[in-house]
Amino acid sequence: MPVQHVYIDESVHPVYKELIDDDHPFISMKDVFLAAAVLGYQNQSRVPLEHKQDVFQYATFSSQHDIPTLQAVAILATGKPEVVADIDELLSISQEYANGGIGILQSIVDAPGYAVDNFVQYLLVDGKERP
Amino acid sequence: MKLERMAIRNFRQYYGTQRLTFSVDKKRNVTVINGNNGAGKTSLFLALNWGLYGVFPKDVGDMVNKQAMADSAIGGQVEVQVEIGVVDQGEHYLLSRSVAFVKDADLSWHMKSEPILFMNQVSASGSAKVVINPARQVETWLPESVRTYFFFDGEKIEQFAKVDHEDEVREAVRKIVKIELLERTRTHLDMIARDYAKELKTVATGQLKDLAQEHEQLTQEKDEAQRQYDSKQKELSACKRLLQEVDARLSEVKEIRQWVEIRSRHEAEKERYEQKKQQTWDDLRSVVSQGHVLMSEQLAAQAVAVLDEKRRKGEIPLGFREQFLQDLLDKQVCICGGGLEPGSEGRKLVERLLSTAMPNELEDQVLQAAGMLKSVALLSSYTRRRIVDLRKDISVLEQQIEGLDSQIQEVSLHLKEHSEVEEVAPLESKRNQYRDQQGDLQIDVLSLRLKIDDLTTKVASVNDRMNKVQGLEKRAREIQARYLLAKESAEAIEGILAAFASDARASIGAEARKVFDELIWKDSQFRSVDLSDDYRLEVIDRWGTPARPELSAGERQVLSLSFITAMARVAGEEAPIVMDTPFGRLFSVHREAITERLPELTPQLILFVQDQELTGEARRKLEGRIGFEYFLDFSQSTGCTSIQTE
Repeated sequence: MPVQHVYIDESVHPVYKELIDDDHPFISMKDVFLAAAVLGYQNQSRVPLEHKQDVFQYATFSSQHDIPTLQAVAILATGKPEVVADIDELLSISQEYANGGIGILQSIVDAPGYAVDNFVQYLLVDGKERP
Repeated sequence: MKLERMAIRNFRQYYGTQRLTFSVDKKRNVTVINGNNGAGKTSLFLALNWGLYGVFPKDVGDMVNKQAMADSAIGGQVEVQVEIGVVDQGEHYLLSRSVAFVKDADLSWHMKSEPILFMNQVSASGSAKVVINPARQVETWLPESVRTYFFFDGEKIEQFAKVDHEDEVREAVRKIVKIELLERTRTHLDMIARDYAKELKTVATGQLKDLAQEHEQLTQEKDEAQRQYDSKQKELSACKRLLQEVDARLSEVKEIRQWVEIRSRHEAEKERYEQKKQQTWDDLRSVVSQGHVLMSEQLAAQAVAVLDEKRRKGEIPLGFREQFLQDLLDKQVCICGGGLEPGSEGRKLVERLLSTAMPNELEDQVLQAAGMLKSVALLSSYTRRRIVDLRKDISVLEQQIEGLDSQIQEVSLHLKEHSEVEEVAPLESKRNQYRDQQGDLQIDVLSLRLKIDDLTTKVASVNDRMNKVQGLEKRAREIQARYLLAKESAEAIEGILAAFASDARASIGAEARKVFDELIWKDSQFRSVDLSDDYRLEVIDRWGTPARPELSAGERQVLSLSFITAMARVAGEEAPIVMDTPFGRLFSVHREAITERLPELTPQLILFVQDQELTGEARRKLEGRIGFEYFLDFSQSTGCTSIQTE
C-alpha cells in the first residue's frame, strides 16, 4: 500500500516549527495540524494549498485520538458518511481546513502571556464558548 | 575543369540539334562565338547555365523553341535538351539536362514534368559509367554560388567597380574562398553557446555560495555557543564545589550544625519538588498538545448527529448485512415469519433496504467511525480533567517549593544574623552568593543548550539545502564548461575567419593589382588597384590617390575583370571564363589591351561577341589564341538560329 503523506503549505512551515518548540504547547506537527484543522472548520476557513510540503505520514495519526477528529471534520464538510473510508478525501479536506486555521491557532497561542497558558485558557474556557 | 563541347536541342531560337566545340588547347584557349543582336549569343549563354546548374531566368521568355512547338500536334511533346561535355583532371564527362513541353489545345504549352539531369563519366575506351549524383559533381567543378564570377555578362561586370558596391565585393570574396563554411561553423557554435547560456540561467542559482556562507556563520555561532556552554558548565561545576566547601565548613561549626542539616534537607526536598514540577509540566504539555480532542468534541457530536440522521432515513442500514437481506429474499420469509413473496409489501421494503445498503466493508468503516466519534466526548472529558489536575499539581508543587524557599531563606537569615560564631556570617554570605551564582549559571547553561540545539537544527537544514543546490550547481558547472568551450571555439573560428578573410582579401588584392597592370592600357592615368579592409575595390591614380569615381565604363570593366580573375586565381578554381558581350562599351584601344592579356589569365576563355566588338587590332591580338570560332546565323524567315563555323 503506498505511503500516504500529509501536506501543509510551505509558507506556514515556519509557524508549525515555532509552535512545537519548547516554549509552545505542541510536541508534534501532527498535533498542530489537527488543532489547526478544527479551528479552520469552526471558522469556515478552507484554503487550498499553493505549494505543498510533506511534513509527516498518515500512519502517524492515532486511530483513537486523531482519526475521529479528521472524520468529524470530513463528515460535516461533505455530509457524506462514506467519506470516512476515503483517506485521500479525508486528508484533502483536513489539509485545506488546517491551512485556513493555522493563522488562527498562532494568534491564540502567541497572545500576550505564556504560550502554553494561552492555549490551556482557550481549551478550558474560550473554546467552550464557541458554537 | 574545361568545357569540351555543347549540343542544344530546341532551346529557344535553336531549332533541332545544334552543336559546337570549345577549345581546350593550352595555347589556343579561346573560343569565339560571333553574333549580332538577337542572333542567339545570350541563348547559348543561358543554355550553358541551364545545362550545368538548372538556372533559367523567368524574365527571358520561353525555353522551348517555338518552331518545334508549332510543328508539334496538340497533345504532342517537344523535348528541350542541353548536352555539355566536360573534362576535369583528365576525366571526361557528358552531362545532359532535358525537359519535355506538351502542346495544349489552345496552342499554348506547358512543361510536362521537372527537368531531368543525367551524367556519364566516359572513359578513353568509350565505355560510360553513370554518375550517381550529377549535381554534386558539377558543384565540385565550379560551385553554383560562384558561377556568376566565371560566367558573366560583360556589360554587367563593372558592378564590382562601382562606388558603394562593397557588399558585392565582400560577398564575392566570401564565396570564392569558401569563407561561408567557416562562418557557418562559427554561427553554429555561437548558437550552441547561446543555448548553453540560456540553460545556465535556469540552473545556476548562485545559492551555493550564499548557503556556504550561512553554513559557516551558523557553525561559527554554534561553536561559540558550545564554547560558552562548556565554559559555563565549568563555572557551574566550580560553583557547586565552592558551595560544597562552604557547606562542609559550616557543617563543622557545632553551634549551627543542626540548622545546616535542616537547610540541607529543605534544599534536597525543594530539588525533588522542582524535578517533580518539571515532570508534571512535561505531562501537562503532552496532554495539552492533544488539545484538538477537546476542540473537536462538539464537531464529533455533530458528526454523530449527521450519521444518525442518515441511518434514520435508511441511508445507512441498521447493521443488516447485504447477504443477510439477500438470503431473506431468496427464502421469501422474513425473520418475523412474515412472507416476502414477489410483489408483497414486505418484500418491497427489504428490496429497498438492499438497494440502499452499502458494501459490507464500507458499512463497517462507517459504523466504526460512528463508534469512535461517540467516544470523543469521553476522551475529551478525560483530557479536560487531566489538564485541570495537572495544573493543580503544578500549582501545589509551586506552593511547596515556595514554602521550602521561605524556610531555606529563614535558616540563612538566622545563620547570618544570629549566630555567635564569627565565621558563620561571612560564610553564609558567601554561600548565598554562590547559590545566586549557581542559579544564574544554571539558567545560562540551559539557555545555551537550547541555543546549541536550535543552531544544530539550522545547520542540518542548511546542509540539506546545500546538498540539493550542489546537485544543481554541479549541473551548472558542467553547462558552464560546455558554454565556455562553445564560446571559445566560436571565437577561435572567428579569429581564423578574420585571418583567413584578411589573407584572402590581401591575396586577391595583390593578384588584382597584377592583373590590372597587365590589362590596363599604357596611357591610363591609373597605376594600381587596391582591395581595402572594408572591401572597397579601389583604383589608385598616378598621384597615388583613390580615383574610382572618375573611372570610365571601360576602366570599370578592366577593374572588375582584374578582380574576378584575381579571385579565380586565389580560389584555385580551374574553370573557364565565359563572357557575354565583353567589349561592348570599350573603346578600341581598351579592347586591344584586354584581348591581348585576357587569354593568359584563364585556362579557357569563351567569348560571345557582337560582330563589331572584335575587329581590327583587338582581333589581331586575339587571333593567335583562338582555337575555335563560330558564327550565329539567324534566319528572318524561320526565326531560328543555326551555328555556323564560317
